[in-house]
Amino acid sequence: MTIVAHNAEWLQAFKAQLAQNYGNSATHFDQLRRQAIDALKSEPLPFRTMERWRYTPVDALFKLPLNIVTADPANDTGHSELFNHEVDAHRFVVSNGRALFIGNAADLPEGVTFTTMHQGMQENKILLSRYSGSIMKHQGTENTVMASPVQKDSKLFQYLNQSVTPDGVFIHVAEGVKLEKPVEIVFAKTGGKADLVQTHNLVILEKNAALTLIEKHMDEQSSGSFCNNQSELFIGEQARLNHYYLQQQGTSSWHRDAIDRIQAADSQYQGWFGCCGSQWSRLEMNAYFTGENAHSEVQGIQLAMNGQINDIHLDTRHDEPNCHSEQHFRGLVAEKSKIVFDGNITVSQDAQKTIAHLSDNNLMLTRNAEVDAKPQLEIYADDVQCSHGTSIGELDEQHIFYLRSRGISEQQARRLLSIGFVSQVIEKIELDAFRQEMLDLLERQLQASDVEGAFGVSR
Amino acid sequence: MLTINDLKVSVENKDILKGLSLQVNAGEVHAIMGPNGSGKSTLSHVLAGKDGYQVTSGSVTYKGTDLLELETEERAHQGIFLAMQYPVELPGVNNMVFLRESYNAIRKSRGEDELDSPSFLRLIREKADQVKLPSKLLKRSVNSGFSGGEKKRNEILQMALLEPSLAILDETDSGLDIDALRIVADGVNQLRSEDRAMIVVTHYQRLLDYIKPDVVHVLADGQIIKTGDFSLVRELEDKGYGWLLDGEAA
Repeated sequence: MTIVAHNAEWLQAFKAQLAQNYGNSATHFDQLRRQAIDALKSEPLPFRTMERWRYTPVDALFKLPLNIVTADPANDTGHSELFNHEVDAHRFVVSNGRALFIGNAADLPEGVTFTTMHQGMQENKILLSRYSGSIMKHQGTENTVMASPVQKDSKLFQYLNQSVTPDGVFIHVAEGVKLEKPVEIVFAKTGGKADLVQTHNLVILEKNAALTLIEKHMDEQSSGSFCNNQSELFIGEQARLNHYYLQQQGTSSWHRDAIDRIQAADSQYQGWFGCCGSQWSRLEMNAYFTGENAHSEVQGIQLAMNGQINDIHLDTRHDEPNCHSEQHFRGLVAEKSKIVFDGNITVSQDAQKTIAHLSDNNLMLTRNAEVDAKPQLEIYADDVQCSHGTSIGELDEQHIFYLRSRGISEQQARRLLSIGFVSQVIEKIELDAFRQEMLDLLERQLQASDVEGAFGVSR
Repeated sequence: MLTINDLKVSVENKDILKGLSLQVNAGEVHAIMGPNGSGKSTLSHVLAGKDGYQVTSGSVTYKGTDLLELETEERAHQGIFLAMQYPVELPGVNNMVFLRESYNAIRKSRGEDELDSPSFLRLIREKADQVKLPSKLLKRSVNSGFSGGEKKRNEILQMALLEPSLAILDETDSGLDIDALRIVADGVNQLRSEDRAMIVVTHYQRLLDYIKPDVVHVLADGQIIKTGDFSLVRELEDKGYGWLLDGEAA
C-alpha cells in the first residue's frame, strides 16, 4: 500500500501494482480486467478541453495522498447504525469496498440471488459473464481511444474500476419473482484513512421480475477518500426496478458513480437521485433501450454548498421505437459551489414515437456560486415528442417579504423557500421513509450552510 | 396605538406620501379610501416594512416604539399584520407548514412555547372553517393555484390565526364576489375588540357597508385630505372624489 502526494502519483502507483497482477487466466472477468489495464495505460487524464469535463476540474483529485487499496477486510462488523430502520428491508453493507450481507438470507424469496460480487463470480460465473461488461458494447468503448482525433471524454475512471476486480453487490431476480421488501445497500467508507475505494455492482432482473433498491453512500468519519463506483442494471422484459439513491458522504470525500442501465421491452425503471455529499462528486448515468415500450423516469436533486462541486451527466439513448423517458432534476447551489448538469437524449432514426423530456432547474442562494447546465437533444427520427429546458434563478424578494411579514425570520424564509423549490421533486418519492430521510438531510445541510452565511441576511 | 406624523415617502426618488398624519386608537376601525395612485398601497407597505421605500421625513410610532426601526418580522411579532392586495404563490411551501411556522414564530417571539402539531391542527381547522376555506387548501402549496377569492380567504385565515393587534387590509376586497366579501367582512368583525385596531384600505364602499368603520379618511396625492365618520362613505359614493380634489386645488 503506497502513499503518495503529487502529480497523479497514486495513479502511477496504481498502474505499477497492476503490472504485477496482470495474470493470464482466461476467465471472462480477467479478460475484461486485462482489456481495462491495457486501455488505462494510454488513457489521458480528464481535462477541461474534453467536452465531458469542461466544467468539472479534477486536478486536485490526482494530487490526493491516497492509499491504493481495493478492499480492507479489517473491522467490518455490521454497521447496522447506518441503515434507515424505518424501512423494512433486506440489508447489505459495502464497507470500504468490501460487501457484507446483513440480516437473514433465509428471508429472501426463492429465485433471488443476493450475494457479493466476489462470491457471485465463483458461484454464478456463467450468469455474470453473460451480463457484466456487456454494456460496454453499447458504449462502443473498445475503439474510441484510437478512432477519435478529438478527445471528447476520458474513460480513465471506468478503466480504473475495471482494471481490478472490486467487490460489490450482486443481485439476480429470477423470472416472475417480485420482491415485496426493498433491498437496502449502504456503501460506507469507514475509518479515517484516505483510501481509493472501488466497488462494482450488478443487478439483473429477469423477465417480469420486480425490485425496489435503496442505495446510500456515506462516511463513517472524514477521511479524504476517493470512491469510484460502477453499477450495471439490467431490467428484463416487463420487469420493474424502483431505485432510490442517496449520496451523502462528508465534504472531505471525493465520489464518482457510473450507473449503466439496459432496459428490455416493456420494462419500467423509476430512479430517484439525491446527490448531496462530497466536496467533489460526479454521477454518470447511461441508459439504453433494447426493446419497445420501455419506460424510464429519472429524477432528483443536486445540492452544492460551501465549496462543493456536484456534477451529473445523463445520457439516455433511444434506439428502439415507442419508448418513453423522463428526466427531471432540481439544484440548490450556494457559497463558492458549483453544479454541473449535462443531460443528453439521443433519438436514433428508427426510434419513432419516442417520448423524451428533460428539465433541470436551479436556484442560486448566493451570488458567488456557479451553475453550468447543458441540456442536449439529438433527434434523428421524425415522429417524436421531445423537449428539454433548464433554468437558473434566485429567490424572489416578494416571496421572502411575504413570509417575513408573517413573523418568519429572513433565514427561515430562505430555508422554507429553498426546500420548497426542491420539494416539488422530493414529493415524487413514493417510499415514505426515504422521502422523510431526504427532507431531514436537506434540512440539516441547509442548517449547516447557515454557518457559512448562505442564508445570512444580505443587507 | 398608531401615530403617523407628517410621513413623507418616496419610491425611486418619486414622492408618493407627502406629509401624511394619522392617529389610530385601540378599538377603532379606520377606513382609508382614495383614488388610484394616491399612495394607499405605499402606506400599507411602509407600515409592514417592505423594502424599496425611502422614508424621507416624519415618524411612525406604534405602541410607543419607533416602528420604522423594526425589521419586517419584528413588526409581525409586535402584532402588525398586513393582508396583501396580491398574495404571492409559494410553490413547494406547504400551506399548513407555513401557517404553523408563522404562528409559532410569533408565539416564540412572545416567549411562549410552540404549539404541538395535534393542537395546531385542531386550531387551524377551526379557523379555516370560520373563513370557509376548504381544508384541502391547507394541504396545498401556499396560494398555488388558488382562485382570487381563495387567496384572499387565506389572508383572512392568517389574520384570524395570528390575532394581530393592528391589522391592515390592503384592498382585500378587490376582485371579490359578494360571498367572499362577506367572509372578509366577517373576519374583520369577529376580530374587532377593545385592544385591537384595524386599517381597511379600499377603493370601494362595498366592503365598508359590512364593516362600518369608526373613522373614514380620504387619501389623495399622498396626503389625507378629509376625515369623517361612516357618512363620508355615502357621500363619496354619491359624489365621487372629484369635489374633494377640486376643493383642494382651489
